[in-house]
Amino acid sequence: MMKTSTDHGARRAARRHAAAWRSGAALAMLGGLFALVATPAAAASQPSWNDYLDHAYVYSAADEDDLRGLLERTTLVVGRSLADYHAETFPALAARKTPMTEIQLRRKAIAELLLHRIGERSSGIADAVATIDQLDDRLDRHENRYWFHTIHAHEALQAGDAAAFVDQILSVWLGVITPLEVPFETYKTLALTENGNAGFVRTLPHLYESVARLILVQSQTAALDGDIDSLGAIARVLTDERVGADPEAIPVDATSKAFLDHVVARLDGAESDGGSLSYTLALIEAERAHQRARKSLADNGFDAGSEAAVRDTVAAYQRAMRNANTLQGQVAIYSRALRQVGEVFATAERTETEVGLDIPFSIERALELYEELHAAKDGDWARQGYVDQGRDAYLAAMRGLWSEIQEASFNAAAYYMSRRDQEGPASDEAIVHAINTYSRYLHAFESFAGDPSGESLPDSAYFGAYLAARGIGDGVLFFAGGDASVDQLEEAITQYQTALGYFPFDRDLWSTLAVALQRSGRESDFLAVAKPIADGVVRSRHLDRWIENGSVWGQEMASFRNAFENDRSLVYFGFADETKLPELEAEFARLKAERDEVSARVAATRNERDELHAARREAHRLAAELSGENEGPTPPAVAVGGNGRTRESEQIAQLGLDLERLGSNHERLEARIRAIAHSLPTFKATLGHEALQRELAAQRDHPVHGLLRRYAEEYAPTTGPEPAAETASAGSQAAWQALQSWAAGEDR
Amino acid sequence: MKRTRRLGAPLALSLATAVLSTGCLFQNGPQAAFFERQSGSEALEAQLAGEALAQRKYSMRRVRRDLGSFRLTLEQLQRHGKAAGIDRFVRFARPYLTDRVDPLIEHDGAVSHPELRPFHAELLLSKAVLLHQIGDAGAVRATIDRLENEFASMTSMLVLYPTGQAVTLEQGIALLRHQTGGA
Repeated sequence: MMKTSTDHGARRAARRHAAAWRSGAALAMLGGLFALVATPAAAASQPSWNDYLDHAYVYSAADEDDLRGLLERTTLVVGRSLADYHAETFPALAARKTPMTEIQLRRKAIAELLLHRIGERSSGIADAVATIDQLDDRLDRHENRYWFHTIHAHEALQAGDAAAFVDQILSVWLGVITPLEVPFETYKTLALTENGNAGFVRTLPHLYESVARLILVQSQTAALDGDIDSLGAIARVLTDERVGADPEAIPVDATSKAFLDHVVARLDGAESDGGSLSYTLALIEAERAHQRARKSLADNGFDAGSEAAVRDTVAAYQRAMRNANTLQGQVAIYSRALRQVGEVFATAERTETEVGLDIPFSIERALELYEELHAAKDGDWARQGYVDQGRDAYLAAMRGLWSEIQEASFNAAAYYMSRRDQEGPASDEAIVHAINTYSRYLHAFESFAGDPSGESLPDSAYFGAYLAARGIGDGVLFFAGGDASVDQLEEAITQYQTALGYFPFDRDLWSTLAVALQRSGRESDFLAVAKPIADGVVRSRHLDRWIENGSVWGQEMASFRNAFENDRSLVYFGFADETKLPELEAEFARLKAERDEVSARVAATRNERDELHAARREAHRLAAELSGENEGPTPPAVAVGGNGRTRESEQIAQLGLDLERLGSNHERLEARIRAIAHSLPTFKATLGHEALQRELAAQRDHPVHGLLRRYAEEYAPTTGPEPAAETASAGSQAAWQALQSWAAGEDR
Repeated sequence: MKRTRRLGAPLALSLATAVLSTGCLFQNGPQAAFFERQSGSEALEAQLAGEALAQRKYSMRRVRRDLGSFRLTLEQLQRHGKAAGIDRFVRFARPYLTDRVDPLIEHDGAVSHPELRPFHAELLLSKAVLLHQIGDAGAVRATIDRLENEFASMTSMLVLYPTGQAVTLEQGIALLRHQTGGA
């Protein structure tokens, strides 16, 4: 049958219209299409659903919403809906004596597929399958074969039959795309792909795109939960100058090229699962759900929508987990799922809401996975899935998992510490949870921190150890409404020592340590407890090098080191802070005034004594002259008192004593003033550097983390006389055991 | 005017098909009579001039890369012990070799156009590696025999081994023997 040029015009318009709608990214083209359709030439041949259905390979794989939009707009152009067209056309054709033609059957099947895809077919895909099956003796024609396998692929998606889906896609590739590739290349060479006579061959760029969307998008939209790894080969070859390679047919931005490239990069990437496509797609889908949940939590807190989004994410991560074949894959999932755990706890803390969601991805299980990874360190790490990506990827995954464990742990602990009883004070049960969480982290840290190669843990884990030890100490102090027993105070003191061993630049923690010592009646021990930790800073070669090199925060750390060199400054760390500074400075001024006063009194007393001396000497001289002493041997007594001394002599003696006392006072004042004059500015120089803690808590890759690691390895913090690792490990466990007994009221 | 346009397209297409019908280059098609008038190598070079030769190279390179992707997928399926997936993929890969690869490396007595010889050899190497992955030792052996027979005088030719290494064909065959256990 000969086609007119207006037929071709309408068809081309329909094809362009559909192509623009494929991605929903070319709305502007729609106006162009309608303008074209409205021209007198096109008006002679009004576009019909037949035209649109004959070009359905262009748009049939569009996202559901885009497809619905396209069909609605086409309804306006054509004058009736696709459902109406189907209802009015095919029953009438079927009622005729002659069977429907091949093209009529194909259009009917495509219409049924499209109606199924937008949810307007109550019978689902079954009608389309039944219709296209009537063409099974005409599969020699590529167009029929394409729709046959495509419709059956949708049937497999609806049934959740991954194996059948794979078979259908491989059949499309083998039976349609492979035979079309050679003639397509020829037509392309001759620039004939837009020629109407190129037939179905010219559709190849659209077929690539449709197959890509079926594999990457629709399999996930349908939540296909099965093994489609065999299609990894098709995904890979689609990236090879196929999808997005023909911008004249489909603008690159309107193709799935970017997503396809991303998927294939992930297949080969460090967080793959040995190249599993099923896993990679499921994980990407879970990541999208996670992003939605994250935004909802940030915007709305724990409303019903956020909770549903979190549950969707959990389900998606669980689906990815079912597809994970290797430890590599499981670790990648857990690293993400733990982040969500942390986000949920952080939201609950922020909004002061109780966490009511059950997330089956636990920190305990993550630690087990970490342990499995760690166990493979010197042996079969490659067999855990990292064979293609190498040891660096394995180590990065191990450290990444640890970072997520750390963050989730601390978010959870912070949430528990923020929980309050109805009366107001922190809930003991919540505190126990917090201490449990911190202890678990610290215990795990101590188990793996001994690795001499330093490969297993991220640098930030050492700052994490400080946070955990400090958290345990705080929890113990807050337990039972802050009425800590002697044992609890001792435990808190031990944990604070450990924490300061890992991070000695937390000025508040020094004060807290002093408070704990005060409450246990040991305030006089502060210097003895603090000095070894301070000495660690003073002696650290790594810190010295850091400061000498002018590295980040080096100047501030130097001020801490100066302060730690001086016992008086160190005492300030325990018993002073910004709020006490005016008091300290007033005291300093008072001491100086007192010293001045004493100096004046010393001068006055000395003056008085000198005057008395002079008066007495004058009296002696006059007495000698009057008595002729100068002529005779015996001088007369001058105003001798009852004790045999003159009054002046007694006064002079008293003034001498006063001078001695004042001199001693002055000396002591001078010493205090000298000490304060040196140590107060030293201490003041350590104030206002709390931003370092905030930076370290927020930035896993902060350069100071590396210094803290080297410092800790050099210093090896101890919690007692025993070797560091052993004691610290025992300490974190003991904290928990002791707390259990306190919680049970056994030892109070 | 209208008539001219309607005639023009089929004419151009038929001309193009006569000159460049890549899919039929090594098959007995309607163009056979033309090529029968020339000797094998002359005929090949006449067929594969300019754009057509470039297109042919492009096609052979891409098929070689496709075979690499298939091999990688099969290897990963095997690593995970996915027997059903392996069976399914092998049912796809075998006809693909027959329908898409074999026509490109069909022996025509002249071992193809000189510029295509490295690609021809590379496709045979890739096919053999995929067949080894499939577990078809007999077909691997037959492919190695073909390489040794058809390229006997060209073993110093530089080719890309399926793993991406540039080697001489002799080294490639040795690697293939080693990789396939001396099949």
